Amino acid sequence: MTESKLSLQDLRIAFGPRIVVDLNRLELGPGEILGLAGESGSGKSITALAVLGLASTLGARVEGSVRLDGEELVGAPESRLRELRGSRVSMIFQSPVSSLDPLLEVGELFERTLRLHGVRKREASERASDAFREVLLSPDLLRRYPHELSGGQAQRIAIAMALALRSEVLLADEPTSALDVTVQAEILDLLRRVREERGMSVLFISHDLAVIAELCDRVAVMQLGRIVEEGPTARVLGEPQDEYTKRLVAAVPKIGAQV
Amino acid sequence: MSAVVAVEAPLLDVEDLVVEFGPVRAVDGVSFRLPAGPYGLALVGESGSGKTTIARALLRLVSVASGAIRLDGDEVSGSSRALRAYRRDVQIVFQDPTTSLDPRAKIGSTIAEPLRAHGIVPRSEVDDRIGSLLTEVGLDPEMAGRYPHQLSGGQRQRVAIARALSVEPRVLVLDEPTSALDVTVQARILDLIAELRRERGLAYVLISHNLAVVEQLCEETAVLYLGRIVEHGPTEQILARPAHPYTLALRSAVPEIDLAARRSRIVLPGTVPDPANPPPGCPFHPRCPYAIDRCRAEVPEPRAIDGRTVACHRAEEILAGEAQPPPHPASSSSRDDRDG
Repeated sequence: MTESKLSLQDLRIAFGPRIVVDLNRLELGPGEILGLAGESGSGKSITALAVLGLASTLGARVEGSVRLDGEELVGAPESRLRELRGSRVSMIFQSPVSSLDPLLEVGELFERTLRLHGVRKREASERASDAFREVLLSPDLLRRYPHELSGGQAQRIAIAMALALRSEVLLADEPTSALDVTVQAEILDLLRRVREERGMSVLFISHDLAVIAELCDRVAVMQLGRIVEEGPTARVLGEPQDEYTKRLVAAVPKIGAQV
Repeated sequence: MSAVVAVEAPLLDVEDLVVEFGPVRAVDGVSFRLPAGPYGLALVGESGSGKTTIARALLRLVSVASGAIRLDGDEVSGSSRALRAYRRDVQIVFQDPTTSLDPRAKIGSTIAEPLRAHGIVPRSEVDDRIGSLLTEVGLDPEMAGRYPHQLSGGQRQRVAIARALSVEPRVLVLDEPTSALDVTVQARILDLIAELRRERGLAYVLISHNLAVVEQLCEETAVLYLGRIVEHGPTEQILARPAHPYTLALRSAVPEIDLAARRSRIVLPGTVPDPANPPPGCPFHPRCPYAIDRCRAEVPEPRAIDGRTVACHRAEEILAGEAQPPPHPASSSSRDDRDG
């Protein structure tokens, strides 16, 4: 097996006495799209936040190992984590409009963020325009405020930010759950393309196995903080072994067999 | 079945409904009829298609510019008394149960309020009725003593359904009732709706952007685009063989868990146009892969074809699978017009 981009081992996340994640091993390869499936409360989101070193800001205790290209992130100094966030690992969220600063024009947000990561002013605006073209948005949108954007546009912009920062890993937490099916399909296309063209690794979190089936190479199914089943998407969803996976598969709405 | 789904004496009759917000025509001449239950009619479309505005118009929450909404053949007048009776007969369940329930009211009093307001049962029987309604939607009657924040999203949506049912409505409007929920919870709520339909003989209008949700629950489907119905007929037929390119695209956007069932996706360039400034000709033509010159000039009238009505100049070709995109398709891969 090739070296993992991101490797989680014996990861335990607890709020006080309550252990919410107890995960043996989860590996994300370079250029891989890995689905992390499970219901609300299964521990998917807090796992992603732990990768960024943000779980502890919510009061969680994190033990175990999170390695990015071999570098240990659990217990790493905040200054180092801050360097890595964005420039190496980005995260996008379910509600794309509220994940953008409402007081800043999108262009201003890009410039500030890129400059924080040491990009010069001129290059920052070039990178922003390039990233916008890459996600098929007109650079004119850089002059808009978040409330002037549709959900699909805002999610494209969040992805463009990851591209402009040259992130290698994208943590995508239910990025299409709040979108129309047509817009969802476009965002899935975009993620596929970003992987093809940039070789970005994507951890795609979703409760919807149909969406995971459309996008992911492999899938890990999470229940109550544990991975209950993991493998190539076609195998896990086609012949689920675990009872919980079977239930999730059965819950997916399907259009009838007559089609 | 005849072309437009035939209804003897409709329970709810919506005719040529128009709703305007200033210069924006959000609903532009929509007609459908809902027979007595058990029956489900689906309104399907993207954000901006006008489906929620139709729901609000059905509840008389927005004023209607023209057209008619009749219940049992009677048009609802504006008198407060008539409205009160009408709102008992037509109830709604909203997408987000977190914001549609009063956070400061216990579940019991949330359900008791309409029971008392409409004098559904004698005061002494209110508590019993609350218990039986909660049981009917699959909740423990003990839940009556809880607050919304102590419930899960699925439980809250069950409460919203119980409240809507409490006044024994004749028509239920379900506005994206499962879109804010996890897939597993969504499946259970859909099961609940199916069960209530059987037990109560419910007639409902189900609003959704997901065709897969619609199929299990609705005999009839109307696909909306920019405030108009573009295709309308029996759900089974529309899903199996869409005749409108927009229905085709919506159909193809539904994610498939089954790799074998997966079909090639039709990507629509751009977004729903600004309804204040609709394009000439067919409102769908700027995004339609099959648009020809005629589509840019002439508004397609709804026509009866193959057991449904469809508003598309090229519906026959689409149905026959013969429609080819024109040589210079309107659907270039660029999406720079998204911001337009």
